[in-house]
Amino acid sequence: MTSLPDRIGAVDVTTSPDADAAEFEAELAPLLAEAVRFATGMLLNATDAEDAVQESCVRAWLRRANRRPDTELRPWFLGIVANQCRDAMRGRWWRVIRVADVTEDHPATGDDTAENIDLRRAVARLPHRRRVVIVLRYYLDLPFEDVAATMGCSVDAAKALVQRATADLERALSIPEAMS
Amino acid sequence: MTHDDDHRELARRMHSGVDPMLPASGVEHRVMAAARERIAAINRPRPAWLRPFQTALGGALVAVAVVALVGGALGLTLALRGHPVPVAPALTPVVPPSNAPPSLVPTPAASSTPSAPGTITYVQPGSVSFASATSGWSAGGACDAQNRCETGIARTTDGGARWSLVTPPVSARGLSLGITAASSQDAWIWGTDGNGTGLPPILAATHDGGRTWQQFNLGGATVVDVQAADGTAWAETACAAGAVPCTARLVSQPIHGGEWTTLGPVPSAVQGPAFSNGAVSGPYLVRSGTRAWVIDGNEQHPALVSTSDGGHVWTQLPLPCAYGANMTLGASSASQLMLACANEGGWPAPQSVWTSGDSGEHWALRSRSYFTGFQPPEPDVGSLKNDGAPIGLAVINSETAWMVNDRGDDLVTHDGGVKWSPAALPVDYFGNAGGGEGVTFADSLHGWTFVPAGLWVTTDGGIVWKRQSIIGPVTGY
Repeated sequence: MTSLPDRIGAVDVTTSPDADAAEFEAELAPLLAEAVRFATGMLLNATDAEDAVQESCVRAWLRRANRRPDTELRPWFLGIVANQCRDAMRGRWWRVIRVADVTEDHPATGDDTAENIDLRRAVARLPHRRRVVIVLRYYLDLPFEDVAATMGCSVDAAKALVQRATADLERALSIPEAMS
Repeated sequence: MTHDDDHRELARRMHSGVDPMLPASGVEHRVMAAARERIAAINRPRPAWLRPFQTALGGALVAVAVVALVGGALGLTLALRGHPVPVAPALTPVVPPSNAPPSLVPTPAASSTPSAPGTITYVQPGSVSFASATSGWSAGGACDAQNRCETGIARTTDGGARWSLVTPPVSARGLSLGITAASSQDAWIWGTDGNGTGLPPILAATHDGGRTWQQFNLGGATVVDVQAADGTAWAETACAAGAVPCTARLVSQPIHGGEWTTLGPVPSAVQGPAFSNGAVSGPYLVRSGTRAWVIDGNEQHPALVSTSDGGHVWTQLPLPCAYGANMTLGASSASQLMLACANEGGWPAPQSVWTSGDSGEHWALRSRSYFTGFQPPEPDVGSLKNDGAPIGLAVINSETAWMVNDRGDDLVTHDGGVKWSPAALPVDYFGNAGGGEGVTFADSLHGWTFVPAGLWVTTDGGIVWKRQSIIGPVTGY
């Protein structure tokens, strides 16, 4: 058995931290626009999306040592954003009872259509993982390979997940006045 | 319509529906700027490995790592641990805004809203708590056949086969609740406005099976956890939004009702720092018998403290989790603890599981995930998958425990945490064995978990799980 001092050193960064940070920021910057779109699709709220991406940047930095050498930054970072969005949805308070407040959370904008409002309500009703793949696939327009990389699963699993999520979304869209 | 047409149509609808919600232009710069500001808000020494990043970014991105939710640890409440509102800096202990015990306030009658649902046909659980194999309570969305919902509370006295709705002390939509049960008659609900609609924080108790509720005034503070044990219910508070500085504290009420008493502030070691966005998991309670622990899930200064004299004297205990880990603590007795840690980034999330047989004084590593840079496998230490972070831990005894992960399989161990197997919890959405949002057991046989589709129960120690509707099946699943 291992005693206390033997800790996991997941954030043990020892090489040229200044250069490392600058390089990390330079790598991350081109991904922010896509990350914001992803977070917006997940949270359906501009402010929450900004907060989530900001938190994700912090988390990515703190966790950069966890990234496998053979893992590309983009899917890894989108995975962090997905996790952050999940936390943000929960963080609104414990297990936020989403079914009761979707209308308030995703208000119509001035020139919004009923179809758009229905779409957001349906997306908001999706469980986290299915919402992730729906947004990745249909809003970020990622190929299955990238969806799989972000979800950390095989391409076949990603396809199956998207298929199930799509069915869920279509079902949610078919529920009249859902969450109203 | 072809498959490609279907794809294009759904993509069109997604773009049309989501694009209006996008932040204003320049968001990337705002994100960076805001992150840099946050570092200045951390008024405490930082580990050496953070400083270079601060320098390099001129103020830097680093401020807070968000703790993924540390899940329901001990006790029988399945509610997930959430991010509380900001609380005061640890280094400046002050008298709370109101140090008085909670005072009784009139409970307003539940009022109908224009869009109030009709006859409730189902409750989608958001928090579930069982006091025994038979007595359970649930708070969640109570919805009618048209999926119009409001806050709802339901109660069962037969393990969940049949539920009856209880009139909640509040009916506001958007108010989400945690619930803790001590018996079929005694329960507490707490929560706050999750959507900025100005609803006050709530702490309310019933001691007559939900027929009446007493609502308590906490001086603007928010209750972040309630745990019942040893004849009392303890509520832990954080500060209301904007109430800085203030101090998280504990208050206590006899399980069967009576006056609240203030146990005092929780030790400074587990007082979370104040951050403007509240994206920091605060301390939460674990109780077993006369022993209580408060673990601070804040990545910036994780800490574990314990008391065995009703909160008068606290002892700080060692924490084996790596710095910056998400932590989930569970106890099966006053001495037997299990702690799950995960350094979650994108993926994977290197995990480790530790146990203590002396109330947390000493910890032994039971299993860990192996990852680039980690040492090779060690004797007597099991291997753990690293594709998720624990959000719930139900510790049955020194051998058996259930772990719910935010991604990947839910796991069960029958050898004290060395070997973990996929648990036969209801399938969630990832194609893995499990996916519960929380898990709890009243004893070694009777357990519950819930997913968005509803509540599931086992009466044989987790071999078979059966869906259990609260009033009726959740629509859409």
